[in-house]
Parts: sequence; structure tokens; C-alpha cells
Amino acid sequence: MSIVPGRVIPEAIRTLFRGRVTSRYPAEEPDKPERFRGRLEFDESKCTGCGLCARNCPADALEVTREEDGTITWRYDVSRCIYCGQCVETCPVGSIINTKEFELAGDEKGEFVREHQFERE
Amino acid sequence: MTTTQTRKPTLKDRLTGWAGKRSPWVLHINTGSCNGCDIEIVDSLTPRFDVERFGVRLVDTPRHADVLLVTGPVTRQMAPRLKRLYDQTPEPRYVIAVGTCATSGGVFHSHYNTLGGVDQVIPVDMYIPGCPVAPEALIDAIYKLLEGEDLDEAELPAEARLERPESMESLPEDAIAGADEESPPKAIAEGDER
Repeated sequence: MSIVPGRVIPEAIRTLFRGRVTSRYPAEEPDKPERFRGRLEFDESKCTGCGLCARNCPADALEVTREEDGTITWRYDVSRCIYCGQCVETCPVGSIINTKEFELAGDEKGEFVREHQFERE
Repeated sequence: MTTTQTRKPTLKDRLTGWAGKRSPWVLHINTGSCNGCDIEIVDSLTPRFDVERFGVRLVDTPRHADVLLVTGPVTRQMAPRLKRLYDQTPEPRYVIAVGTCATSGGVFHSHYNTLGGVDQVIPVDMYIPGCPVAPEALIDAIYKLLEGEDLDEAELPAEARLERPESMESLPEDAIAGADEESPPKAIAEGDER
């Protein structure tokens, strides 16, 4: 490939008016795609405790346990989740949704586990 | 890592820490990753995300690095190499576990051939979950790490270590086997031809 001056100069002039391509990330919000799958958000008022999300989770990030007195514990390990969206697809009542949150970095591993406890009949 | 003896930072250490905070040089280590996170690290160096505007620079050797970016669930074969790379990095050094696999093992969490996370081998200062991590998440993690750490006040070991550090013993036994040239891996020692 040889550099043809007749092509380089128009390209250089065009680039002058194109503006910057670098995103101003920490200063401005990033433009994530509409269907970006980030951290899960759980709505415990809808959950029936069926445990389908936990059975379908390929990474064992979700765990649903049911006590005899009807207490349900929904445990979500952010550090193990692979954001595949299987649980969101599976949930029959739509109590799990993907948020666009991706700034999940932390220095404590214990902070990655989120637990919801609630009662069902 | 807890070192037994520490000394107070001298003026030279403070200067090194100050410079490291403003321009962390990173080394990328793949310990059995699927290349998803590796490509995101490369992605963050492109003009679109451009981590070099924060002074982050990808270096070729651990001896030049301040921060190690480790991807992958740490395979048994890679564990002693990862340990050695960590030992070759001058202090103050920081480790970022990039991706779900490096953080907790992810989908490989209970496999026989992986150790399930970088923190099983070397101490980790920042975990980034994500599969793969977004380039913005990587920038965010480096930002959080350098904001949180007092690099110019860090406590340093009293003497430079020249011999193999004792921390090697914390590795699982069969993982260490391959690290030492004098003691070949178990399978070779027993004449197992595979």
C-alpha cells in the first residue's frame, strides 16, 4: 500500500471537522446500548419464591431458599453473575430486571452478595 | 500481603508513590481467560476510551508495572506463573481482578482445573465484576483504586526480597509442583505419559 497524497489531504481536512471520538467517561454518563445487561434489580413484592431463576442460573450466582415458616431468602452474588439475562427471561412474574449499572468495582468481596428476605404463605 | 517488617516511607518512596498515582503503568496477565476481558482491556486503550489520558500505560514486563490487571479464573498451570509475576513487580504494587472469572471463578467456580479467582493466589486490591467488563468499568476501577489508596503513604517491606518468598507456600500443593524446575510436575515425575 502506498500513500497517495491526493487521498491523504482530503482525509486530513475531513478529520479536522469531525470532532473528537474519545468519550468523556468519568465526566459524562456513558451512552450504553438500550438493551445493555447490567446488575440485577430484584422486586421482592412480586416474587413467589418458585426458585426457577436459581435453577436456570448457569453461574450459580442466585440462590433461593425456603424455610418451613414461609420465609424466602433470595441471595444474589454480583461477583459470580455473568449477566446472561436467563433469570430475567425465566421469571414467571417478572420480579427480576437488568439495570444498566456496570460500575460495580469494589475492594471487599463480601459486599458483592445481596440478600433479600421476605415472607410468603 | 502482610509483610512482617515494614519501614516508614522515605522521601524517595513518597515521590515514587506520587508518580505512580498519577501515571500507573499496568501489566496485563491472562490466567486462562476466554479473551473477552482481554479484548476489553485492549479496547480501553483505543481512542474511543483512551485510558492513556489518565496516564495509564500498558507495559511489557512486571518489573516496569505498578498495577497488574489479571483476567481469567487462574488455571492450576498458570497459578505459579502468576505468583512469580507478582513477585517480580516492584512495590508498591496493586492487583486488579478484571472480570467475573478473576473475581470469583464465575462459571468455572467449582472446576477441578481452576483455582477460582485471583485472590486464591495473590492479594487483590480491586475486584471488577462483569462478563466481560465494560471499558468504562475498567476506567472506574482504576479511578477508585487510585483514589482510595494513599500511594505516597504506603508501608513498604524493610528489605528487598531476593530469594523466593515464603508466600509461595500458600498455593495448593499440586499447583506449586510446576513452578520449580528442580521438582517437575507430578505427572512427569511419576513417568505418566499423557
